Amino acid sequence: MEQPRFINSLSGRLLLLGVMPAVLAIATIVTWSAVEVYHGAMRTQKQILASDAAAAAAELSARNDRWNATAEILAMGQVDGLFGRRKESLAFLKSANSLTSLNLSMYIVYEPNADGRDADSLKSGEIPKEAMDETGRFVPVWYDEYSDGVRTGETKLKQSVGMEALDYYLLPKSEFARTGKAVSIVTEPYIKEGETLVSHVCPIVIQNKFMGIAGVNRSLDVLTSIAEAIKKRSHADVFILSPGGHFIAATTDAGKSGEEVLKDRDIADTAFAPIASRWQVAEGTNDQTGFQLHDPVLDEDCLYATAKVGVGGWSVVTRRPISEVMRAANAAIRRNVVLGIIGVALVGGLMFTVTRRVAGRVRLAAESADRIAHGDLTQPIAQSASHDESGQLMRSMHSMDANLNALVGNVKQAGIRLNSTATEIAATSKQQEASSATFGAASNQIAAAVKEISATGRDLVKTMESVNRMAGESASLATSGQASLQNMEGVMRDLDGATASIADKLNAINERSQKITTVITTITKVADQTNILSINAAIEAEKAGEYGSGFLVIAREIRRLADQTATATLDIEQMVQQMQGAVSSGVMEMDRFSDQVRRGVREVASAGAQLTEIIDRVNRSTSSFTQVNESMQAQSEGAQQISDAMASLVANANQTVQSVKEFSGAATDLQSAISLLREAVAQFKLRE
Amino acid sequence: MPTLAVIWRSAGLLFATGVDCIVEVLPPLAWSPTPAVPAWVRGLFSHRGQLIPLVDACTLLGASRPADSMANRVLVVRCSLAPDSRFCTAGLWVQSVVELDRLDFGAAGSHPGFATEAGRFLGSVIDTRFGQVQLVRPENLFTPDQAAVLAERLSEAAA
Repeated sequence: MEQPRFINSLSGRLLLLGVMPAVLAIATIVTWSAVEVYHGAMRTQKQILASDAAAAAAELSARNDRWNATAEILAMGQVDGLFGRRKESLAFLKSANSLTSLNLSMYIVYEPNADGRDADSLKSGEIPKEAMDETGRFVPVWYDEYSDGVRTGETKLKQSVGMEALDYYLLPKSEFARTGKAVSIVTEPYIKEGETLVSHVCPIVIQNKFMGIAGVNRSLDVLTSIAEAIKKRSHADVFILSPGGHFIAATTDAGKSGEEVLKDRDIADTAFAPIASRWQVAEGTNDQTGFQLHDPVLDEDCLYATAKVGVGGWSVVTRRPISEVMRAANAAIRRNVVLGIIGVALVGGLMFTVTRRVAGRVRLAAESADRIAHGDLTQPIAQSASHDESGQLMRSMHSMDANLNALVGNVKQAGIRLNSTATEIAATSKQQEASSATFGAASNQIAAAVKEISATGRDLVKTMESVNRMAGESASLATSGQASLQNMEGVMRDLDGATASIADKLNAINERSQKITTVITTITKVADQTNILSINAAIEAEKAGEYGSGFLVIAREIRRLADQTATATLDIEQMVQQMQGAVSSGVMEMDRFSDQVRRGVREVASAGAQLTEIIDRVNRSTSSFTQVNESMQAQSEGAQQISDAMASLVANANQTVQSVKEFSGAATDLQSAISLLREAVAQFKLRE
Repeated sequence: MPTLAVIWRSAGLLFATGVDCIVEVLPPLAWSPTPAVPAWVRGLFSHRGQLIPLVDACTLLGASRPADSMANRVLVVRCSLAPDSRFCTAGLWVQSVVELDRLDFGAAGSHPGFATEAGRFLGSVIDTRFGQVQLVRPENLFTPDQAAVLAERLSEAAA
C-alpha cells in the first residue's frame, strides 16, 4: 500500500489540525495576555503617575491657598480699621509675622499718600523710618533674620522697594483694575539673596478704591523636600514648574550625579526644552492618564503625568522610566511566554504521542482493509487492548476480518456447490433440450412418416386392386415363362460344355507358347554368343593386321547377322509374350465365363422353381388380396388419425423445445453468474 | 590415325577402347568378391585358368553400380605395370558393347579430356555417329603404387 506524504497522513493532519491550532491559541493567548498585561500595567502606571501628580498639585494648591488667606487677612485688617493707622498696622504686621516659624516676610504697601499722612508720618516720627520711603509712603516689611542660613529668631523691619516695577505690586493692582475684585494672587517665583521666594499678595480696596497691597513672601525651598516626599511615596521623579516656565523644584536635583540642576532655571534652557510644550498644563485640564515620551535626559522612553496646581498656577510633572515601571510586567510577560512554550511543548508532545499511537492503529487498519480489499484474508488482524476509538476500530476490524473470512469461506463452498448444481442443471437442460429437439425432430419425422404412410396406404389400396388384377395376369405369364426357362436351362448347359472345351484348347496354346519362348531364349543366347564371337574375331583379325583384313569383313557380317537375329528374336519374343498374355487372359475370361454360365444355369433352375412357387402362391393369394385391401383401407384411416395426433404432438414438442431452450439459457446465465461469483470470491485468500 | 576400337556404354556415357589393349570380349560371368580392395574392383574371376581382377566401369567412373543384365560385357584388357612396363590382364565390366568401329582420337576437333588423378585412364573425346565418345586407356587403370604392388605379387607368383 502506498504511504501518504506526511502532510497528507493522519499524523500530519492531526498534528497540523491539533497542534497548530493549540500552538496558535496558546501563542494568541500568551500574546494577548502579554499585550493586556503590558497595556494594563502601562495604563495603571499612567494612572498612578497621574494620581501622584494630582495629589502633589492638590497639596501645593492647599499650601498656596493658606498663604493667600494670610495675605487676605492682612489686607482685611487694613480694610476693617487699620488703614491709616500706621503704628497699629506695623504692630499687627509684626505680630502676624511672628506667628510662624517658616522663613518668610510680611509687608504692606500703600499707594502714595493713600491715607493722606505720608508727610505727617515723615515728620512726626511716630513710626520707624524703615517703614516708609523717602516720601513717607507706608511700605513696611517685617522679615526674619538669618545668619549663615540659620534663623536667628529676630524680626527686622525694612522698606519695600521696586513696587512700581515689580509684579508683586503691579499684578494685584492691574488685576483689580481689570476685574474690580480684591483677589489674592501668587507671583512668579524669584530669587533673592540666593533664595527662591514667592509672594502671596492681596489688594487693599476701600470704598472700591485700590489703596495698596498686603502680602507674604515665603521661601520655596521647602517645595524640594515636598517633592522628595512625593517621590519617596510614588517612586516617580517630580518636577514643579511655575506659570512662567521656571523649575521651582525637581527631585532630580538631589542626589543623581551627571544630571543638570534644574531649580530656578527656565525650562527652555534645559535639556527638557523639546518636550516642554507637553508639560504645560492649561487651567482645569489635568491629565488623568499620563503619557509616554522619550526622555532627552535619560535617553529612554518614560511615562509622564502632569497636574495643575489650582492656587498659584504651577504645574506638577511626574516621571518614571518605562523600563522601571514595566519591569514587573515584563517579568510577568516573560513568565507567561515561558509557560506558553512549555504548554505548547506539552500539548505537542502529548498530541504527537497520541497521534502516533492512533495513526499506527489506523495505518494498521488501513493496511488490513487494503489487504482485505485485494482479497487477502490469510493474515488475521491483530487485536488491540486500547479502549479508545482506534482500539475499538481495530477490534471491529478483527471481528470483521473473522466474520468476512467465515462468510467468504461459506460463500466459496456455496459457490462450489451452486456451480456443481448449476452445471448439472445446465447439462440436464442441454440434455433435455437435445432430447426435446430429438423428440421434436422424431415427432416431425413420425408425423411425416405417418402422413406418408397414410398416403401410401391410400396408394396401396389402389395398388392392391391393380396388383390383384395383375396377379392373375402374372400367373399366366409365369406359366409360359416357366417353359421358356426350361428351354434356356438346356441351352446354358450346352454352352457350359463348349466353354470347357475352349478353355482346354487355350491351355494347350499356352503350353505351346511356353515352348516357343524356350526356343527363342536359346536363339537369343546363340545370337548373343555369335555377336561376342564376331567381336572377338574382329579384334583378332585387327591384331592379325593385313592378314586378318578378310576375316575382319567376315566377322563384321557375322556380327550384323547376329544383330539381325537378335532383333528378330526379340520381335518374336515380344509377339510370343503378347500371345501368351492374350491366351492367359482368354483362359481367365473363359474360366469366368464358364463360372457365369454355370451360375446362370443354377439361377435359371432356381428361377424356374421360384416361378413355379410364384404361380402357386399367386393362385392361392388372389383371395387374400381382398382381405389385404380392406385392411389397408382401415390402416389408411388409422394413419390419418395418427397424422392429426402427431401434428398436435409436434406443436407441443416445438413448444417444449422452446421452453427447454429458454430454461437452458437461464441455466447458462445462472452458470455464468455463479462463475462470476466464484471468480469474485476466488479473489479472497482464506486462512487455512 | 584411325584405329579399331570397341565402343561401349557405362554410367550412361559412351567410351571407346582400342582393340590393341583388348584381349577378348566375354559375356557376363561369375566372379568372386575380394576383401580390402577399392570399391571399383568387384573381385577376381577365372580367365583361361588364371585369376585376374574384375573392374566395374560404372563405379570406376564415379557412378553407382546398376543391376547386372544379359547385355553386360566383360572386356579383358591388358594393363601396364610400371615401372618395368610389364603387362597384366584385367576384366572391365561394362553395361553393353555398342559397336566396333575405327576412331581417330587425335583428329582435329577432338577434346583432350580433363586430366585428373581420378581420371588418369581417360583420354580424348571425339564426336561420332553414336554421340560423344571418350577414349579409355586400360594401361592407366591402376595407380603407380597399385601397379607396383600388383607387379611384385605377380613376380612372386611366377617365382
